[in-house]
Amino acid sequence: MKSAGTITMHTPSTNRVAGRCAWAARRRALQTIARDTILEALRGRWLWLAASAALLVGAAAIFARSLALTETHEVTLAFAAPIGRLVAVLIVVLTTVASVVREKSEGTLLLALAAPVSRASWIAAKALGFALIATVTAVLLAAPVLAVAPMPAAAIWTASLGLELIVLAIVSLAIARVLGQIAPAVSAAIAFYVLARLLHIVLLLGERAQSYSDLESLTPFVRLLRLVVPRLDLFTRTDWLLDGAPSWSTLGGIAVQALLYSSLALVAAIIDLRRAPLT
Amino acid sequence: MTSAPPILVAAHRIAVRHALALGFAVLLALQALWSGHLGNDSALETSPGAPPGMTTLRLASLDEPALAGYAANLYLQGFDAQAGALLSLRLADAQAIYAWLERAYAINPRSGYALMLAAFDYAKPAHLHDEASLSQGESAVEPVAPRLLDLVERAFADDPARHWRWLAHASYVARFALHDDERALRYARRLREAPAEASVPRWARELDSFVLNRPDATDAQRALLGGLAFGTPGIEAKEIDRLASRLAEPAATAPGPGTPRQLTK
Repeated sequence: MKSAGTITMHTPSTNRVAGRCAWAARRRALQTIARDTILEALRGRWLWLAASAALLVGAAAIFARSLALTETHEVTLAFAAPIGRLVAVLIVVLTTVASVVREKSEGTLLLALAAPVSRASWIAAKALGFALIATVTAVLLAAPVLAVAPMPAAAIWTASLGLELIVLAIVSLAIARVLGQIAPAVSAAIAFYVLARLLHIVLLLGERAQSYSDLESLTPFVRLLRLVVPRLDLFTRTDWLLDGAPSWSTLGGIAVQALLYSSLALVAAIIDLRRAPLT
Repeated sequence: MTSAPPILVAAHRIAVRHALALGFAVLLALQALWSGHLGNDSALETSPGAPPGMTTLRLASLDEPALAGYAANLYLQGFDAQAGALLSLRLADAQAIYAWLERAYAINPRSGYALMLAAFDYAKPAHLHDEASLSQGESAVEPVAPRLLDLVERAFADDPARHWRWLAHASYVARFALHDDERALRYARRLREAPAEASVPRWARELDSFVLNRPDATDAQRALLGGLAFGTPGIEAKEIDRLASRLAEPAATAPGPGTPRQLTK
Protein backbone atom coordinates (compact mmCIF):
# COMPACT_ATOMS: atom_id res chain seq x y z
CA MET A 1 0.00 0.00 0.00
CA LYS A 2 2.83 2.28 0.92
CA SER A 3 4.67 1.80 -2.36
CA ALA A 4 1.50 2.39 -4.36
CA GLY A 5 1.02 5.71 -2.63
CA THR A 6 4.63 6.76 -3.32
CA ILE A 7 4.34 5.86 -6.98
CA THR A 8 1.15 7.84 -7.36
CA MET A 9 2.89 10.93 -6.13
CA HIS A 10 6.26 10.73 -7.93
CA THR A 11 6.03 8.89 -11.26
CA PRO A 12 4.38 9.99 -14.47
CA SER A 13 3.23 6.48 -15.52
CA THR A 14 0.99 6.06 -12.54
CA ASN A 15 -1.62 3.89 -14.23
CA ARG A 16 0.92 1.43 -15.58
CA VAL A 17 2.63 0.99 -12.23
CA ALA A 18 -0.67 0.72 -10.40
CA GLY A 19 -1.65 -1.97 -12.86
CA ARG A 20 1.59 -3.79 -12.08
CA CYS A 21 0.87 -3.59 -8.37
CA ALA A 22 -2.62 -4.92 -8.90
CA TRP A 23 -1.21 -7.77 -10.99
CA ALA A 24 1.36 -8.55 -8.28
CA ALA A 25 -1.39 -8.64 -5.64
CA ARG A 26 -3.49 -10.91 -7.82
CA ARG A 27 -0.53 -13.16 -8.50
CA ARG A 28 0.10 -13.45 -4.77
CA ALA A 29 -3.56 -14.33 -4.23
CA LEU A 30 -3.40 -16.96 -6.97
CA GLN A 31 -0.22 -18.43 -5.50
CA THR A 32 -1.91 -18.56 -2.13
CA ILE A 33 -4.92 -20.41 -3.56
CA ALA A 34 -2.67 -22.89 -5.40
CA ARG A 35 -0.55 -23.38 -2.28
CA ASP A 36 -3.64 -23.87 -0.12
CA THR A 37 -4.90 -26.48 -2.58
CA ILE A 38 -1.68 -28.44 -2.18
CA LEU A 39 -1.67 -27.95 1.60
CA GLU A 40 -5.22 -29.22 1.81
CA ALA A 41 -4.26 -32.31 -0.19
CA LEU A 42 -1.25 -32.83 2.08
CA ARG A 43 -3.46 -32.61 5.16
CA GLY A 44 -5.74 -35.16 3.51
CA ARG A 45 -2.73 -37.56 3.43
CA TRP A 46 -2.53 -37.44 -0.36
CA LEU A 47 1.26 -37.75 -0.37
CA TRP A 48 1.19 -40.71 2.00
CA LEU A 49 -1.49 -42.34 -0.12
CA ALA A 50 0.53 -41.88 -3.33
CA ALA A 51 3.76 -43.11 -1.71
CA SER A 52 2.03 -46.17 -0.20
CA ALA A 53 0.34 -46.90 -3.52
CA ALA A 54 3.73 -46.71 -5.28
CA LEU A 55 5.12 -49.26 -2.81
CA LEU A 56 2.15 -51.56 -3.37
CA VAL A 57 2.47 -51.27 -7.15
CA GLY A 58 6.16 -52.13 -6.83
CA ALA A 59 5.28 -55.12 -4.62
CA ALA A 60 2.68 -56.33 -7.15
CA ALA A 61 5.25 -56.08 -9.94
CA ILE A 62 7.83 -57.98 -7.89
CA PHE A 63 5.23 -60.67 -7.17
CA ALA A 64 4.46 -61.03 -10.88
CA ARG A 65 8.21 -61.12 -11.60
CA SER A 66 8.68 -63.92 -9.09
CA LEU A 67 6.01 -65.97 -10.88
CA ALA A 68 7.48 -65.43 -14.34
CA LEU A 69 9.55 -68.24 -15.83
CA THR A 70 11.04 -66.10 -18.58
CA GLU A 71 11.02 -62.45 -19.73
CA THR A 72 11.03 -61.40 -16.06
CA HIS A 73 12.03 -57.83 -16.90
CA GLU A 74 9.15 -57.47 -19.36
CA VAL A 75 6.67 -59.05 -16.93
CA THR A 76 7.74 -56.58 -14.22
CA LEU A 77 7.15 -53.63 -16.53
CA ALA A 78 3.95 -55.07 -18.00
CA PHE A 79 2.47 -55.14 -14.49
CA ALA A 80 4.09 -52.08 -12.88
CA ALA A 81 3.30 -49.62 -15.69
CA PRO A 82 -0.45 -50.14 -16.28
CA ILE A 83 -1.27 -50.75 -12.62
CA GLY A 84 0.73 -47.69 -11.55
CA ARG A 85 -1.00 -45.63 -14.23
CA LEU A 86 -4.48 -46.69 -13.13
CA VAL A 87 -3.76 -46.18 -9.44
CA ALA A 88 -2.33 -42.72 -10.14
CA VAL A 89 -5.49 -41.80 -12.05
CA LEU A 90 -7.69 -42.93 -9.14
CA ILE A 91 -5.63 -40.96 -6.60
CA VAL A 92 -5.72 -37.77 -8.67
CA VAL A 93 -9.44 -38.03 -9.40
CA LEU A 94 -10.34 -38.70 -5.74
CA THR A 95 -8.07 -35.93 -4.42
CA THR A 96 -9.39 -33.37 -6.89
CA VAL A 97 -13.06 -34.21 -6.55
CA ALA A 98 -12.92 -34.36 -2.73
CA SER A 99 -11.20 -30.96 -2.57
CA VAL A 100 -13.61 -29.19 -4.94
CA VAL A 101 -16.73 -30.70 -3.37
CA ARG A 102 -15.53 -29.90 0.16
CA GLU A 103 -14.87 -26.31 -0.84
CA LYS A 104 -18.32 -26.08 -2.36
CA SER A 105 -20.17 -27.69 0.55
CA GLU A 106 -18.30 -25.83 3.31
CA GLY A 107 -18.71 -22.50 1.58
CA THR A 108 -15.00 -21.63 1.71
CA LEU A 109 -15.21 -20.57 -1.92
CA LEU A 110 -17.20 -17.51 -0.82
CA LEU A 111 -14.42 -16.61 1.56
CA ALA A 112 -11.77 -17.10 -1.11
CA LEU A 113 -13.60 -14.87 -3.56
CA ALA A 114 -13.74 -12.07 -0.98
CA ALA A 115 -10.08 -11.53 -1.91
CA PRO A 116 -9.40 -9.46 -5.08
CA VAL A 117 -9.60 -12.54 -7.27
CA SER A 118 -11.98 -13.17 -10.13
CA ARG A 119 -13.81 -16.45 -10.43
CA ALA A 120 -11.77 -17.38 -13.49
CA SER A 121 -8.55 -16.69 -11.60
CA TRP A 122 -9.74 -18.81 -8.69
CA ILE A 123 -10.42 -21.75 -11.02
CA ALA A 124 -7.05 -21.24 -12.74
CA ALA A 125 -5.24 -21.20 -9.38
CA LYS A 126 -7.05 -24.35 -8.24
CA ALA A 127 -6.15 -25.99 -11.56
CA LEU A 128 -2.52 -25.03 -11.03
CA GLY A 129 -2.56 -26.62 -7.58
CA PHE A 130 -4.14 -29.80 -8.92
CA ALA A 131 -1.67 -29.89 -11.81
CA LEU A 132 1.19 -29.83 -9.30
CA ILE A 133 -0.47 -32.60 -7.30
CA ALA A 134 -0.88 -34.60 -10.52
CA THR A 135 2.79 -34.10 -11.42
CA VAL A 136 4.05 -35.28 -8.03
CA THR A 137 1.65 -38.24 -8.11
CA ALA A 138 2.96 -39.17 -11.57
CA VAL A 139 6.58 -39.13 -10.40
CA LEU A 140 5.76 -41.21 -7.29
CA LEU A 141 3.72 -43.82 -9.13
CA ALA A 142 6.29 -43.97 -11.92
CA ALA A 143 9.04 -44.82 -9.43
CA PRO A 144 8.66 -48.63 -9.86
CA VAL A 145 8.88 -48.16 -13.63
CA LEU A 146 11.80 -45.72 -13.43
CA ALA A 147 13.65 -48.26 -11.26
CA VAL A 148 13.69 -50.92 -13.97
CA ALA A 149 12.89 -49.41 -17.38
CA PRO A 150 15.59 -48.09 -19.70
CA MET A 151 16.06 -44.40 -20.39
CA PRO A 152 14.83 -42.36 -22.23
CA ALA A 153 11.71 -44.54 -22.58
CA ALA A 154 11.04 -44.38 -18.83
CA ALA A 155 11.41 -40.58 -18.80
CA ILE A 156 9.02 -40.15 -21.74
CA TRP A 157 6.56 -42.56 -20.13
CA THR A 158 6.69 -40.60 -16.85
CA ALA A 159 6.27 -37.26 -18.64
CA SER A 160 3.28 -38.67 -20.53
CA LEU A 161 1.77 -39.96 -17.27
CA GLY A 162 2.17 -36.48 -15.76
CA LEU A 163 0.37 -34.89 -18.72
CA GLU A 164 -2.39 -37.51 -18.59
CA LEU A 165 -2.93 -36.88 -14.88
CA ILE A 166 -3.00 -33.11 -15.39
CA VAL A 167 -5.76 -33.54 -17.99
CA LEU A 168 -7.66 -35.83 -15.61
CA ALA A 169 -7.22 -33.45 -12.66
CA ILE A 170 -8.64 -30.48 -14.56
CA VAL A 171 -11.47 -32.55 -16.07
CA SER A 172 -12.27 -33.81 -12.53
CA LEU A 173 -12.26 -30.20 -11.31
CA ALA A 174 -14.83 -29.26 -13.95
CA ILE A 175 -16.96 -32.35 -13.30
CA ALA A 176 -16.89 -31.82 -9.52
CA ARG A 177 -17.90 -28.16 -9.98
CA VAL A 178 -20.86 -29.19 -12.12
CA LEU A 179 -22.07 -32.23 -10.13
CA GLY A 180 -21.20 -31.01 -6.66
CA GLN A 181 -21.29 -34.43 -4.95
CA ILE A 182 -18.40 -36.81 -4.43
CA ALA A 183 -19.91 -40.13 -5.56
CA PRO A 184 -21.43 -38.91 -8.86
CA ALA A 185 -18.39 -36.76 -9.64
CA VAL A 186 -15.87 -39.56 -9.04
CA SER A 187 -18.00 -41.99 -11.06
CA ALA A 188 -18.33 -39.52 -13.92
CA ALA A 189 -14.60 -38.74 -13.95
CA ILE A 190 -13.65 -42.42 -14.00
CA ALA A 191 -16.24 -43.15 -16.69
CA PHE A 192 -14.79 -40.29 -18.74
CA TYR A 193 -11.30 -41.75 -18.31
CA VAL A 194 -12.31 -45.28 -19.31
CA LEU A 195 -14.18 -43.87 -22.30
CA ALA A 196 -11.15 -41.85 -23.39
CA ARG A 197 -8.95 -44.95 -23.12
CA LEU A 198 -11.28 -47.41 -24.85
CA LEU A 199 -13.40 -45.45 -27.28
CA HIS A 200 -11.19 -46.42 -30.22
CA ILE A 201 -11.92 -50.12 -29.50
CA VAL A 202 -15.64 -49.43 -29.20
CA LEU A 203 -15.54 -47.62 -32.53
CA LEU A 204 -13.64 -50.50 -34.11
CA LEU A 205 -16.24 -52.95 -32.82
CA GLY A 206 -19.06 -50.75 -34.07
CA GLU A 207 -17.55 -50.54 -37.53
CA ARG A 208 -17.01 -54.31 -37.65
CA ALA A 209 -20.56 -54.95 -36.50
CA GLN A 210 -22.14 -52.54 -38.98
CA SER A 211 -23.21 -55.29 -41.33
CA TYR A 212 -25.18 -57.29 -38.78
CA SER A 213 -25.82 -55.18 -35.69
CA ASP A 214 -28.98 -53.31 -34.89
CA LEU A 215 -26.83 -50.63 -33.26
CA GLU A 216 -25.51 -49.46 -36.60
CA SER A 217 -27.17 -46.09 -36.11
CA LEU A 218 -25.02 -45.48 -33.00
CA THR A 219 -21.73 -45.55 -34.90
CA PRO A 220 -21.89 -41.90 -36.05
CA PHE A 221 -22.61 -40.91 -32.45
CA VAL A 222 -19.58 -42.86 -31.20
CA ARG A 223 -17.48 -41.31 -33.99
CA LEU A 224 -18.62 -37.85 -32.90
CA LEU A 225 -17.93 -38.70 -29.27
CA ARG A 226 -14.41 -39.71 -30.22
CA LEU A 227 -13.83 -36.23 -31.60
CA VAL A 228 -14.67 -34.58 -28.30
CA VAL A 229 -12.87 -36.82 -25.81
CA PRO A 230 -9.08 -36.70 -25.54
CA ARG A 231 -7.07 -39.50 -27.14
CA LEU A 232 -5.80 -40.94 -23.86
CA ASP A 233 -5.21 -44.28 -25.62
CA LEU A 234 -2.15 -42.64 -27.17
CA PHE A 235 -0.75 -41.54 -23.79
CA THR A 236 1.61 -43.44 -21.44
CA ARG A 237 1.88 -46.63 -23.47
CA THR A 238 3.54 -49.67 -21.91
CA ASP A 239 4.94 -50.74 -25.27
CA TRP A 240 7.27 -47.71 -25.16
CA LEU A 241 8.97 -49.42 -22.22
CA LEU A 242 9.04 -52.83 -23.88
CA ASP A 243 9.78 -52.01 -27.51
CA GLY A 244 11.79 -48.83 -27.21
CA ALA A 245 11.15 -45.15 -26.65
CA PRO A 246 8.87 -43.27 -29.01
CA SER A 247 10.15 -40.21 -30.80
CA TRP A 248 10.15 -36.90 -28.95
CA SER A 249 7.63 -35.67 -31.51
CA THR A 250 5.20 -38.28 -30.11
CA LEU A 251 5.59 -36.70 -26.70
CA GLY A 252 5.12 -33.28 -28.35
CA GLY A 253 1.82 -34.44 -29.84
CA ILE A 254 0.73 -35.71 -26.43
CA ALA A 255 1.70 -32.39 -24.83
CA VAL A 256 -0.39 -30.49 -27.41
CA GLN A 257 -3.37 -32.77 -26.73
CA ALA A 258 -2.93 -32.34 -22.95
CA LEU A 259 -2.66 -28.54 -23.23
CA LEU A 260 -5.68 -28.35 -25.53
CA TYR A 261 -7.93 -30.53 -23.40
CA SER A 262 -6.82 -29.05 -20.08
CA SER A 263 -7.67 -25.58 -21.45
CA LEU A 264 -11.03 -26.85 -22.69
CA ALA A 265 -11.90 -28.35 -19.28
CA LEU A 266 -10.68 -25.20 -17.54
CA VAL A 267 -12.93 -22.99 -19.66
CA ALA A 268 -15.85 -25.34 -18.97
CA ALA A 269 -15.21 -25.03 -15.22
CA ILE A 270 -15.01 -21.23 -15.49
CA ILE A 271 -18.27 -21.10 -17.43
CA ASP A 272 -19.95 -23.22 -14.75
CA LEU A 273 -18.60 -21.07 -11.93
CA ARG A 274 -19.66 -17.85 -13.63
CA ARG A 275 -23.21 -18.96 -14.30
CA ALA A 276 -23.86 -20.86 -11.05
CA PRO A 277 -24.57 -19.32 -7.63
CA LEU A 278 -21.63 -19.43 -5.22
CA THR A 279 -22.62 -22.46 -3.18
CA MET B 1 -33.54 -37.57 40.23
CA THR B 2 -30.22 -38.61 41.60
CA SER B 3 -27.44 -39.30 39.18
CA ALA B 4 -25.13 -42.27 39.66
CA PRO B 5 -21.90 -41.63 41.52
CA PRO B 6 -18.97 -40.75 39.22
CA ILE B 7 -17.06 -43.87 40.20
CA LEU B 8 -19.96 -46.06 39.00
CA VAL B 9 -20.22 -44.14 35.72
CA ALA B 10 -16.48 -44.63 35.11
CA ALA B 11 -16.72 -48.33 35.98
CA HIS B 12 -19.64 -48.70 33.56
CA ARG B 13 -17.70 -47.03 30.78
CA ILE B 14 -14.71 -49.33 31.35
CA ALA B 15 -16.97 -52.38 31.42
CA VAL B 16 -18.60 -51.33 28.10
CA ARG B 17 -15.15 -50.74 26.54
CA HIS B 18 -13.94 -54.16 27.65
CA ALA B 19 -17.14 -55.83 26.45
CA LEU B 20 -16.72 -54.20 23.02
CA ALA B 21 -13.08 -55.28 22.81
CA LEU B 22 -14.04 -58.81 23.82
CA GLY B 23 -16.88 -58.84 21.29
CA PHE B 24 -14.52 -57.67 18.56
CA ALA B 25 -11.97 -60.39 19.44
CA VAL B 26 -14.65 -63.09 19.50
CA LEU B 27 -16.09 -62.00 16.14
CA LEU B 28 -12.59 -61.89 14.62
CA ALA B 29 -11.89 -65.41 15.90
CA LEU B 30 -15.24 -66.60 14.50
CA GLN B 31 -14.38 -65.05 11.13
CA ALA B 32 -11.00 -66.84 11.12
CA LEU B 33 -12.70 -70.13 12.06
CA TRP B 34 -15.32 -69.69 9.34
CA SER B 35 -12.67 -68.84 6.77
CA GLY B 36 -10.63 -71.87 7.81
CA HIS B 37 -13.74 -74.06 7.68
CA LEU B 38 -14.46 -72.95 4.11
CA GLY B 39 -10.82 -73.69 3.14
CA ASN B 40 -9.64 -73.82 -0.43
CA ASP B 41 -11.61 -75.63 -3.04
CA SER B 42 -9.74 -78.91 -2.96
CA ALA B 43 -11.37 -80.32 -6.08
CA LEU B 44 -8.89 -79.80 -8.90
CA GLU B 45 -10.27 -78.20 -11.99
CA THR B 46 -9.06 -80.08 -15.03
CA SER B 47 -9.86 -77.32 -17.48
CA PRO B 48 -8.89 -73.67 -17.38
CA GLY B 49 -12.05 -73.03 -19.40
CA ALA B 50 -12.24 -71.13 -22.63
CA PRO B 51 -10.03 -68.03 -22.74
CA PRO B 52 -11.69 -64.61 -22.96
CA GLY B 53 -12.02 -63.16 -26.44
CA MET B 54 -9.43 -60.75 -27.81
CA THR B 55 -11.72 -57.77 -27.46
CA THR B 56 -12.69 -58.76 -23.93
CA LEU B 57 -9.03 -58.99 -22.98
CA ARG B 58 -8.28 -55.61 -24.54
CA LEU B 59 -11.22 -53.95 -22.82
CA ALA B 60 -10.58 -55.64 -19.47
CA SER B 61 -6.93 -54.59 -19.50
CA LEU B 62 -7.79 -51.01 -20.59
CA ASP B 63 -6.04 -51.76 -23.88
CA GLU B 64 -2.79 -52.96 -22.31
CA PRO B 65 -1.94 -55.98 -24.47
CA ALA B 66 1.32 -56.78 -22.66
CA LEU B 67 -0.49 -56.94 -19.32
CA ALA B 68 -3.30 -59.06 -20.77
CA GLY B 69 -0.87 -61.45 -22.49
CA TYR B 70 1.40 -61.98 -19.49
CA ALA B 71 -1.57 -62.28 -17.12
CA ALA B 72 -3.05 -65.00 -19.37
CA ASN B 73 0.27 -66.86 -19.37
CA LEU B 74 0.68 -66.60 -15.59
CA TYR B 75 -2.89 -67.76 -15.05
CA LEU B 76 -2.32 -70.78 -17.28
CA GLN B 77 1.03 -71.68 -15.78
CA GLY B 78 -0.48 -71.52 -12.28
CA PHE B 79 -3.33 -73.74 -13.37
CA ASP B 80 -1.47 -76.99 -12.79
CA ALA B 81 -0.62 -76.00 -9.22
CA GLN B 82 -4.10 -75.50 -7.83
CA ALA B 83 -4.86 -75.47 -4.12
CA GLY B 84 -1.31 -76.46 -3.33
CA ALA B 85 -1.61 -79.70 -5.31
CA LEU B 86 -0.09 -80.49 -8.67
CA LEU B 87 -2.45 -81.37 -11.46
CA SER B 88 -0.96 -83.79 -13.92
CA LEU B 89 -0.87 -82.04 -17.24
CA ARG B 90 -1.86 -85.33 -18.78
CA LEU B 91 -5.23 -84.93 -17.10
CA ALA B 92 -5.67 -81.32 -18.06
CA ASP B 93 -7.85 -80.09 -20.88
CA ALA B 94 -5.25 -79.84 -23.63
CA GLN B 95 -7.63 -78.14 -26.07
CA ALA B 96 -8.28 -75.37 -23.57
CA ILE B 97 -4.57 -74.99 -22.86
CA TYR B 98 -3.92 -74.57 -26.59
CA ALA B 99 -6.71 -71.98 -26.82
CA TRP B 100 -5.22 -69.98 -23.91
CA LEU B 101 -1.71 -70.08 -25.35
CA GLU B 102 -2.90 -69.05 -28.79
CA ARG B 103 -4.86 -66.15 -27.26
CA ALA B 104 -1.94 -65.07 -25.06
CA TYR B 105 0.35 -65.02 -28.08
CA ALA B 106 -2.19 -63.28 -30.31
CA ILE B 107 -2.70 -60.40 -27.90
CA ASN B 108 1.01 -59.90 -27.18
CA PRO B 109 2.97 -61.26 -30.15
CA ARG B 110 6.20 -59.54 -29.13
CA SER B 111 6.49 -61.94 -26.20
CA GLY B 112 7.76 -65.50 -26.45
CA TYR B 113 6.27 -66.51 -23.11
CA ALA B 114 3.32 -68.43 -24.58
CA LEU B 115 5.67 -70.10 -27.07
CA MET B 116 7.95 -71.23 -24.27
CA LEU B 117 4.98 -72.76 -22.45
CA ALA B 118 3.84 -74.38 -25.71
CA ALA B 119 7.18 -75.88 -26.78
CA PHE B 120 8.98 -76.41 -23.49
CA ASP B 121 6.20 -77.23 -21.02
CA TYR B 122 2.98 -78.32 -22.65
CA ALA B 123 3.86 -80.02 -25.96
CA LYS B 124 5.01 -83.33 -24.46
CA PRO B 125 2.12 -83.68 -21.94
CA ALA B 126 -0.26 -82.67 -24.74
CA HIS B 127 1.17 -85.46 -26.88
CA LEU B 128 0.51 -87.98 -24.09
CA HIS B 129 -3.01 -86.54 -23.83
CA ASP B 130 -3.42 -86.99 -27.60
CA GLU B 131 -2.26 -90.59 -27.41
CA ALA B 132 -4.62 -91.30 -24.50
CA SER B 133 -7.52 -89.77 -26.46
CA LEU B 134 -6.60 -91.84 -29.49
CA SER B 135 -6.43 -95.05 -27.49
CA GLN B 136 -9.90 -94.30 -26.11
CA GLY B 137 -11.17 -94.08 -29.66
CA GLU B 138 -11.63 -90.30 -29.74
CA SER B 139 -10.25 -90.05 -33.25
CA ALA B 140 -12.49 -87.08 -34.06
CA VAL B 141 -10.53 -84.87 -31.64
CA GLU B 142 -7.74 -83.00 -33.38
CA PRO B 143 -4.35 -83.70 -31.73
CA VAL B 144 -3.17 -80.75 -29.67
CA ALA B 145 0.61 -81.28 -29.58
CA PRO B 146 1.18 -80.60 -33.32
CA ARG B 147 -1.01 -77.49 -33.05
CA LEU B 148 1.08 -76.22 -30.15
CA LEU B 149 4.25 -76.70 -32.19
CA ASP B 150 2.68 -75.10 -35.26
CA LEU B 151 1.79 -72.07 -33.13
CA VAL B 152 5.52 -71.68 -32.48
CA GLU B 153 6.22 -72.04 -36.18
CA ARG B 154 3.73 -69.32 -37.07
CA ALA B 155 5.20 -67.04 -34.42
CA PHE B 156 8.67 -67.64 -35.82
CA ALA B 157 7.44 -66.68 -39.28
CA ASP B 158 6.11 -63.42 -37.82
CA ASP B 159 9.28 -62.53 -35.92
CA PRO B 160 12.21 -64.92 -36.33
CA ALA B 161 14.60 -62.80 -34.25
CA ARG B 162 12.42 -63.08 -31.14
CA HIS B 163 11.12 -66.61 -31.45
CA TRP B 164 13.81 -68.81 -33.02
CA ARG B 165 14.80 -70.58 -29.82
CA TRP B 166 11.34 -71.97 -29.15
CA LEU B 167 11.14 -73.21 -32.75
CA ALA B 168 14.43 -75.05 -32.11
CA HIS B 169 12.82 -76.66 -29.08
CA ALA B 170 9.66 -77.40 -31.04
CA SER B 171 11.76 -79.20 -33.64
CA TYR B 172 13.35 -81.35 -30.92
CA VAL B 173 9.91 -82.21 -29.46
CA ALA B 174 8.55 -83.05 -32.90
CA ARG B 175 11.44 -85.42 -33.56
CA PHE B 176 11.85 -87.14 -30.21
CA ALA B 177 8.40 -86.95 -28.58
CA LEU B 178 5.96 -86.87 -31.49
CA HIS B 179 8.28 -88.92 -33.76
CA ASP B 180 7.18 -86.62 -36.55
CA ASP B 181 10.39 -86.33 -38.55
CA GLU B 182 8.77 -84.41 -41.36
CA ARG B 183 7.61 -81.70 -38.99
CA ALA B 184 10.95 -81.62 -37.16
CA LEU B 185 12.84 -81.18 -40.41
CA ARG B 186 10.43 -78.50 -41.59
CA TYR B 187 11.11 -76.48 -38.47
CA ALA B 188 14.86 -77.05 -38.84
CA ARG B 189 14.66 -75.84 -42.43
CA ARG B 190 12.82 -72.70 -41.31
CA LEU B 191 15.64 -72.01 -38.87
CA ARG B 192 18.31 -72.63 -41.50
CA GLU B 193 16.59 -70.31 -43.97
CA ALA B 194 15.96 -67.52 -41.45
CA PRO B 195 17.11 -64.10 -42.67
CA ALA B 196 20.52 -62.94 -41.47
CA GLU B 197 19.01 -60.05 -39.49
CA ALA B 198 17.14 -62.57 -37.32
CA SER B 199 20.51 -63.41 -35.70
CA VAL B 200 19.73 -67.11 -35.41
CA PRO B 201 22.94 -68.69 -34.05
CA ARG B 202 24.83 -71.21 -36.11
CA TRP B 203 23.96 -74.19 -33.92
CA ALA B 204 20.25 -73.48 -34.40
CA ARG B 205 20.64 -73.04 -38.16
CA GLU B 206 22.31 -76.45 -38.22
CA LEU B 207 19.76 -78.01 -35.91
CA ASP B 208 19.30 -81.15 -37.98
CA SER B 209 22.95 -82.16 -37.66
CA PHE B 210 23.50 -80.60 -34.20
CA VAL B 211 20.43 -82.06 -32.47
CA LEU B 212 18.00 -83.96 -34.66
CA ASN B 213 20.46 -86.44 -36.13
CA ARG B 214 21.52 -87.72 -32.73
CA PRO B 215 20.10 -91.20 -32.27
CA ASP B 216 19.65 -90.87 -28.52
CA ALA B 217 16.95 -88.55 -27.16
CA THR B 218 18.89 -87.81 -23.97
CA ASP B 219 21.98 -86.89 -25.93
CA ALA B 220 19.91 -84.70 -28.27
CA GLN B 221 18.20 -83.02 -25.34
CA ARG B 222 21.56 -82.29 -23.74
CA ALA B 223 22.81 -80.73 -26.98
CA LEU B 224 19.65 -78.67 -27.41
CA LEU B 225 19.52 -77.43 -23.82
CA GLY B 226 23.23 -76.63 -23.93
CA GLY B 227 22.67 -74.64 -27.10
CA LEU B 228 19.73 -72.81 -25.58
CA ALA B 229 21.56 -72.09 -22.31
CA PHE B 230 24.89 -70.99 -23.72
CA GLY B 231 23.97 -69.98 -27.24
CA THR B 232 21.09 -67.62 -26.51
CA PRO B 233 22.12 -63.99 -26.14
CA GLY B 234 20.71 -62.32 -23.02
CA ILE B 235 19.24 -65.48 -21.49
CA GLU B 236 18.13 -65.03 -17.86
CA ALA B 237 19.55 -66.99 -14.92
CA LYS B 238 16.06 -68.24 -14.09
CA GLU B 239 15.79 -69.78 -17.55
CA ILE B 240 19.20 -71.41 -17.27
CA ASP B 241 18.05 -72.99 -13.99
CA ARG B 242 14.96 -74.35 -15.71
CA LEU B 243 16.99 -75.73 -18.59
CA ALA B 244 19.40 -77.33 -16.11
CA SER B 245 16.56 -78.90 -14.13
CA ARG B 246 15.12 -80.27 -17.37
CA LEU B 247 18.47 -82.00 -17.95
CA ALA B 248 17.86 -83.99 -14.78
CA GLU B 249 14.51 -85.23 -16.10
CA PRO B 250 14.17 -88.15 -18.51
CA ALA B 251 14.32 -87.06 -22.11
CA ALA B 252 11.51 -87.50 -24.59
CA THR B 253 10.73 -91.08 -25.37
CA ALA B 254 13.01 -92.36 -28.09
CA PRO B 255 11.44 -94.64 -30.67
CA GLY B 256 11.87 -98.23 -29.56
CA PRO B 257 13.93 -98.87 -26.44
CA GLY B 258 17.59 -99.09 -27.25
CA THR B 259 17.05 -99.00 -30.99
CA PRO B 260 18.64 -95.82 -32.31
CA ARG B 261 16.86 -94.53 -35.36
CA GLN B 262 18.24 -92.34 -38.09
CA LEU B 263 16.48 -89.15 -39.00
CA THR B 264 14.49 -89.81 -42.16
CA LYS B 265 14.80 -86.93 -44.58
